Amino acid sequence: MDGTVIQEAFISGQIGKAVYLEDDLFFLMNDETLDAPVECHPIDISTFFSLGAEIKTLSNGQLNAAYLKSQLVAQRQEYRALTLAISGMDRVLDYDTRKAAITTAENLIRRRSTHRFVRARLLARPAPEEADVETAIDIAIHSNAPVVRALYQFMLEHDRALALVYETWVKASQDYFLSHAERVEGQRILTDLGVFADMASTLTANNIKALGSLVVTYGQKPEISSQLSRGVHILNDLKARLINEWPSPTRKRGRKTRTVVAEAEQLSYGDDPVSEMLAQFESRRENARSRVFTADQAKEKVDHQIEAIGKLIVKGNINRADSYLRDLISFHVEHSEKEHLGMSLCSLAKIAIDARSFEIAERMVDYALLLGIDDVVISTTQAQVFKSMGDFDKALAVYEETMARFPNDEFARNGYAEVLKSMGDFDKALAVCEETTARFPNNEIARNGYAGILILFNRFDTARSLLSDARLKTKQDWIDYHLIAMSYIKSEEIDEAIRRLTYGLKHTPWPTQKNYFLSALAVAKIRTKEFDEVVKILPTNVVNIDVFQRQTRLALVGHSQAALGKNEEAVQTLAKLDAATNPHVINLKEAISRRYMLGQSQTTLSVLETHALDLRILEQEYFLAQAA
Amino acid sequence: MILCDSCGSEIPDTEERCLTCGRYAGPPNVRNAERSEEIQALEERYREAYERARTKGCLAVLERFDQAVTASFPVVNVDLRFLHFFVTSERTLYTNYEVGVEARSRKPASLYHDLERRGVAGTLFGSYSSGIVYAALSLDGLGPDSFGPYAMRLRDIAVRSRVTVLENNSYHFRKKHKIEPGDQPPPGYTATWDNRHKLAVAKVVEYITPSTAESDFPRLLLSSTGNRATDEFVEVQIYGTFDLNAVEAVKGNSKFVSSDDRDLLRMVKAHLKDSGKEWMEQ
Repeated sequence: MDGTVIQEAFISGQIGKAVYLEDDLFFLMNDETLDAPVECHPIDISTFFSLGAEIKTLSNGQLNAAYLKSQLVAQRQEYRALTLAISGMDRVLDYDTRKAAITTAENLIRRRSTHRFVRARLLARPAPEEADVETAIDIAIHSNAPVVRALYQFMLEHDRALALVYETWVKASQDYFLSHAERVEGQRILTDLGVFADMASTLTANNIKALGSLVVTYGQKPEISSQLSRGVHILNDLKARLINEWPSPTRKRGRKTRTVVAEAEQLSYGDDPVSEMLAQFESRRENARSRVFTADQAKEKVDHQIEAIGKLIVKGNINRADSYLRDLISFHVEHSEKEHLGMSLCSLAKIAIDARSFEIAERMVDYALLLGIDDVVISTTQAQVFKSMGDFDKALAVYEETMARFPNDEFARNGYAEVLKSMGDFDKALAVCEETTARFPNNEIARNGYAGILILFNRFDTARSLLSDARLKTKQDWIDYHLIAMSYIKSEEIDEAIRRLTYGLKHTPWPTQKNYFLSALAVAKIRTKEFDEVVKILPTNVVNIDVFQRQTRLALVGHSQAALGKNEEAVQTLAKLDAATNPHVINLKEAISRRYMLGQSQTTLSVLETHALDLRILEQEYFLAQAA
Repeated sequence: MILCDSCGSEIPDTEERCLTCGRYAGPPNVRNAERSEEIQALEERYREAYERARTKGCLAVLERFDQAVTASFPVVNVDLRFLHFFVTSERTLYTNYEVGVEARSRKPASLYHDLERRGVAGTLFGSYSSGIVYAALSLDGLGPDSFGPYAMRLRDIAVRSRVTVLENNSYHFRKKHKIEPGDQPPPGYTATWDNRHKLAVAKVVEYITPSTAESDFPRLLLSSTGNRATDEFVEVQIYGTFDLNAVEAVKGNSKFVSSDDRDLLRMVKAHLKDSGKEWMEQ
């Protein structure tokens, strides 16, 4: 029976049963019949389906009894833990019964997947009035049940946010879905992913920016893209509604935020010392800058300062970076123009984006905006910051506004297409790229962006025709060469990809590009299962690579170590990614950990699960290598 | 097929309402049991049963059994996990955390199709098979424990207008009478709620002797050894679904459970008490 394919299965973790159809007969699987399911009688069918239990349907065409059994066992445990956690708050039950429930729940919730499920369900809505949360917390304290206690505590402390998230969802979901059944299914998907719980958490912390990061993180999850139509749009819309509804605290620096649509509000310098320094441009007389340095000398000094500040940002030494920044601004005020400072601030913003220091990036852009100059680079940098923070709607709006003001700027169009790509709107991204390439046929960046999207559509020949590897002189030439090589990975012509990437690694004169070739080569080697090669060619302690590159390398090395059976080393390597915020890196790390059962509480995987994880890992690795 | 009282259209045997004007025609299983062919065949078997009892010298016993069955009731046997879910299913505290609560009564669309085409229920009930909830007829509150050790007794008022009975459980009935999809089951083996006693009499007459005691009646009507293949009972077929309000009491055994299940059972009992339902220790 284990090898036989099951046509369709229905699981209820809530009642601990599964019913499935095999060879035209219905079978029942429960506690007593896990290994030897029995043929269903009509009584089994009716109690399973007709009396209100929550049921999930599985019908991917590749089910078998072993997989079904593992799913049933896992879901049964999850629901049991949830029921016990709820029972801990149940006034109907006496103290001892509630205590027993909380104690057992605490043991069950030690398993990560169970904890995730219980958290997602408990924290998807506000607690009902009947819930006796305060007593439950007391019992949890006395029972030494810290995890369950933390869940109850969360419910209490985030009650207002939970209520808002739920009410907002109820109203908004009427717009998202045509039918009641679709609404319920959409709610189930978002609930079980933990979206509502995390949104409530960020609201309570007044961390509105983190809401944007949530959209990115969840938007990339396969459950959203495969099961929820317009999932990213829904998440973005929900986020926007919550931001409107949630009362935000007053901003500390006392400046107004520029709105990205309609009229820009007038910025004021406020009481930020850097802002005050920027104001000195206003008080400087026309052309009153110093002429001590030539233009080249001034530029050299500025570049040197930017490099130093950039290193401090990457290291996280923000106080010192601020100090150097004031020096840089003083230099600009004395020796150059606003426009030059604007460019310096944009350069620093881009460094901060690469280092995933989004707050600093945003601050640099705000300073640049305070200068009051109308420059396309400042606008597109602002859009890039929004995109990096996951605020795609704002990024799109800035790009649209910028394209309207600067219709001949191809960077804005490319950036717009990249945002659409990140939102999963590949069709529209493709359309924008096609239009941009048509308008700017000689623009290499436009062609490169277009080719990148064509590769995602598996239109390899067309993508390659846009790129050229005949001449390898400029930096852009090598970027094209890298992308062509990536296309061979995607088209699974791995030998060709390896040949090209090895050549590129050896011959590109730009050190930073060597890193991209190296990562891509590692991705290709993983596909040919040359895991020991990957570990050899990818040192992870290199200093001169940005955070994103380093994290990519750690993930690739961790994967290879795990594949070689070096689990302890893999765990240590992947542990260095604990602070990663990039959703692709996080997803890849989780997938590798599950695939190779790293960590104490991992369960054995079925053949199907292993295969699915392998595919997911390869996809994520490819995306990271191309995103570089 | 009957004609609608209101608009005169034909109402298919599998439909509860007139498809033209929506007039309520009654549960399809009840209408089926009320067909003259069924009633006559059952009446014939009932009469023959009494004749048989007279011949065997156990007429008085049969009459007492007949009378006892008029007070019988449906029980649904479930396991402990299901029981806990069911008794807490109306409580906001628990339903608050169920995502599917609003879609609870909706079955997967594919299931309708499958139940119609395959399986026992489809063979016997066709397209309304997925609307039937099955139970067993009981005299003492016990049910076939091969389906679960806890028997939920249903209130008469909750089911009597929409329930029929079948002489055996559907699974065995189909095999016994060699019924294939599309076949019409032999008449006389199904009855309305009010005539359930006739069906029971026709079924058990061969097992009654002059020495059969009243204490034997529950086991005559329903015998359970914990083995589905040999459990024997009169099947109750309820059209539609029911909730906790339909439950009168729950009967079960507290003694032989694990420590985890003991806690769960304690919760069940607390909720039953809070809902005004009786727990009957077996």
